[in-house]
Amino acid sequence: MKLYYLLLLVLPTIDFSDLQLRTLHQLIMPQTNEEAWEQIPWRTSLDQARREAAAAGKPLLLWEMDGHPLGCT
Amino acid sequence: MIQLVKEHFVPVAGDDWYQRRRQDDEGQFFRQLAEQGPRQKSGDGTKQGVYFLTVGGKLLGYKNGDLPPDLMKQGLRQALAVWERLPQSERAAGQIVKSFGNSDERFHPQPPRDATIIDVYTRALVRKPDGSLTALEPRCEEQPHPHLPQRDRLWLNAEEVRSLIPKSPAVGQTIEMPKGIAWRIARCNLTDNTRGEPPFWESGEIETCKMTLTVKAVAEDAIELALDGRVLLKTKREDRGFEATLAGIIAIDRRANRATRFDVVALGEHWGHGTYTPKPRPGRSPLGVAMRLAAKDAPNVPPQGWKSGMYWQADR
Repeated sequence: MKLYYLLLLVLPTIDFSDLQLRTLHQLIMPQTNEEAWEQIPWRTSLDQARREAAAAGKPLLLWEMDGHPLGCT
Repeated sequence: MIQLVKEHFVPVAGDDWYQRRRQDDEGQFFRQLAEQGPRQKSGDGTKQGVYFLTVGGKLLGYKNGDLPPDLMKQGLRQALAVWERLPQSERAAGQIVKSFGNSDERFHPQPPRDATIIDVYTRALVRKPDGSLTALEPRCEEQPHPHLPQRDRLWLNAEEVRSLIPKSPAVGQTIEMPKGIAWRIARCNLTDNTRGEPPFWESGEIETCKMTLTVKAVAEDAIELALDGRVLLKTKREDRGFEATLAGIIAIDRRANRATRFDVVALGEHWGHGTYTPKPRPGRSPLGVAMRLAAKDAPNVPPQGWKSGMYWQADR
């Protein structure tokens, strides 16, 4: 019975080699085809964006989400 | 659509959670903008969405933020049509607008001076029949779970980076990751945010959080550390949890107390969901978290965990 509980306490462990670390890192990170929206030159300061838009004679596109659209949303 | 935005608009992104709460000129500008559109009845509630506007704050159009590209393109064109009908005096280039002035710092988070800024990505993974891991196929009727990685940030101040280095470092030496940093990573970044804003782990939900740093190489001006760790995070009812192993390499410029490399992964199984992250995959599912240094010119986006109020005291 004691051995059973001891086994329950053993968390799964993964022994990462350097290659495994790099491979897993690359798997999780965004791939090139997942980053197309980043081609848009997003500003993060509405103040600065307004001044740019005024100088350029352009309207603004303001994307506000709960959670930053360029971060966790 | 990307070309349409680049050619005809100045695009800017922000977090409505902060923006609608700011008690400064910028907050007032945004609330007045939102009052012109469908969010006018939201009171103190969310005002999220895509707003098309003039520099003076006149609303040209509004769309929900999660539309498919063809509907968003339609919104862009409609807004441009409204813009084109405005008097030339409102559209002319070369105008100067006054800056908003002082910021309400409670809702305008900035990284500390000399901070190390780390990008964090979280991706739902799937185990293939041969046991290896792969990314989910793109979302469809048969595979409804979001397949793209979610993004977040981790901030470390200079003093914290310095605290990662043993007092008299020698190759092979191992120290515990300082608790404040380990718990911040666990509580704020080891979450399932792949379907939306996740709940942060409460202190009492950290059953195991063990992270160590081992010196791999050391010089007068630089040090390289191997991170190893494991976490078990779960609610009291055990209806949500994350059990994971961490590994990585952290390199530090000892003169600047700034990381020059922060390649870390966490791999484990997550189960359950939060209020804003419904429809989890059934049971326990593989989830991977990867961290790397943000680019020097990366946009200023605060960590989601900054809203929690415990960001700099996550170990209390």
